[in-house]
Amino acid sequence: MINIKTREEIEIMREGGRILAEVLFEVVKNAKIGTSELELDQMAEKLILAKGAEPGFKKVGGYKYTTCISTNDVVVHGIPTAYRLRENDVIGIDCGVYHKGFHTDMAQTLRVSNQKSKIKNQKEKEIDEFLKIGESAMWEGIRAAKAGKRVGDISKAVQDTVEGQGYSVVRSLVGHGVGKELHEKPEIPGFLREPISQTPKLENGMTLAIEVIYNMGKSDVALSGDNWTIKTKDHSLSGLFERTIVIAEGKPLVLTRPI
Amino acid sequence: MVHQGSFEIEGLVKESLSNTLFRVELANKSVIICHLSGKMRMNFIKILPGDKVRVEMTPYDKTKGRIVYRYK
Repeated sequence: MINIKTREEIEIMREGGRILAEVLFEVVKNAKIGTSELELDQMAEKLILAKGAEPGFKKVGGYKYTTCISTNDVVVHGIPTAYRLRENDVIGIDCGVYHKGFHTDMAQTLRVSNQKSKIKNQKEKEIDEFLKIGESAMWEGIRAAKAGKRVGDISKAVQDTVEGQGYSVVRSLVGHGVGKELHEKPEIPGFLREPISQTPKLENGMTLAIEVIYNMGKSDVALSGDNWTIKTKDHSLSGLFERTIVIAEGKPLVLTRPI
Repeated sequence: MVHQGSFEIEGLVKESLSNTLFRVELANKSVIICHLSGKMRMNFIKILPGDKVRVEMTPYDKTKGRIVYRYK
């Protein structure tokens, strides 16, 4: 059963989403060469608490941090370490906020660079192109989330954008509904697992976390030695973009935005 | 946080327990407890020991599954 949220509940999630978006964009601004992953995580936690909410990921059993920081070939669930960011590292920051009983979930990936120089070499151009496609795939997926359409329409939009450019969508990880629990029904894969007509129908009041999890190389991922972090099998770069949306008046509305 | 998607796997029904629960042996030799999916209940599809079935599982709990299809 996909939970439909009432107008009041959507308002609460909008507040939580606003807090999360402000925190995440602040952390993204501070992800520079020499900053450590732990410093970013502690910054996120401090900002969330200062804004009157709680870190959502700490409610996940056994996870002690506020964010998942996934660098380079780490796909998702990267545990923040003392590693200091280097030039052209691709860092994916996933964060969640729990506010008045509701979760919101958001992620952004960026290339760490010396912001002063605008001239890019070939590798930097490739990475930026890779990240641009991932983010636009997420917006295409969000655009497809209308009442009356199906989860498969979102999946198709994401898959066509990402794989149309030669990158691969990770098969084993999915977007999800979000609300009182961090992960709710439905599962929103970034690719078509079954015919669109067999996927759940989208309705007003559904709150979804639409994620694009994709690799520069092949789609295979493997669990790493710590039994938690997931890395690409061929060590290629991986990107992650996510926003929480609600379907309101037939159209998608992004909850995780700063205003 | 990213959610790991559910997957489907084939199995052989070993034993039928009460309340439409079944003990199913998967291709990787592990035996799990599965329940019958609502759609199959609605359409009165019976499952007997010895049937080959498709099971939907979540990576978060590898001891349980849901039977979604019975092969001919």
